Amino acid sequence: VSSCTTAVGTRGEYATSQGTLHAGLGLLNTVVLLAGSLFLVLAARRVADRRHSEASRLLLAAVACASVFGVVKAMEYAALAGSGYSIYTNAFYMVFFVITGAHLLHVVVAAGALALLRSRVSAGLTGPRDAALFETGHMVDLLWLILFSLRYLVH
Amino acid sequence: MIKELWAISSVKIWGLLFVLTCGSFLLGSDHGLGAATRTALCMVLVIAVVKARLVGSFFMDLRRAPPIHRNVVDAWLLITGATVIGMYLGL
Repeated sequence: VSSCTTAVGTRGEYATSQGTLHAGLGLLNTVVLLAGSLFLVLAARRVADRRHSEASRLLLAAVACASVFGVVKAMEYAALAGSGYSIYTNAFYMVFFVITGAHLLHVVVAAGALALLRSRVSAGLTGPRDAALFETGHMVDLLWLILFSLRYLVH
Repeated sequence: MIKELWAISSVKIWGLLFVLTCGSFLLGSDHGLGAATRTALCMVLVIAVVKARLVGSFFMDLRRAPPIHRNVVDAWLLITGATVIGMYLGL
């Protein structure tokens, strides 16, 4: 039991570690990703209405949201690293950096794919497989909603 | 413009998601209003699952998907949500 406690840390340690996170930035990033998701929904409607240039602009707005998310996340990581926290500090930071890092990677990939899709959307050349890329954008939003609550809000 | 936007149902859903997000922020973190009680923590987690389902149903259009797709996502949300909440209550 004692080795187990050492491995996962104590509740108090978890709460203290969580206290070093900037929950306000987490909240900001949640709203930013939700906005990105909304732009994707609106873009999909424009595609269905064959209003391609508007769809392309909305796609750009969604990609911009993902970029803001990435910048805010990088600021958070930099602030934590500046205060001397890393994946080696304790279990909380290890899980925090690994999970949010893996999520960030998916945000970057989804945003990159949507950015590449823009030229085809504006040319009106979207097919059924492109819808899957839109869903990927929503998926990283959906997962962040859960991650934000778990990592930033409850302990 | 704003009136026009508000007529779109996904914009209303976005408004609901925004309110739920701010609500769970105030409930959940020690930076917010109240003390982080057990009930508050459960509510934060339930809100997270509800938000995920709203995104699935309205943004990913699962409400128009075949029942099997909806059921799989609902089962996933229920099982993971119940497991996480159970673990928080048990610890």
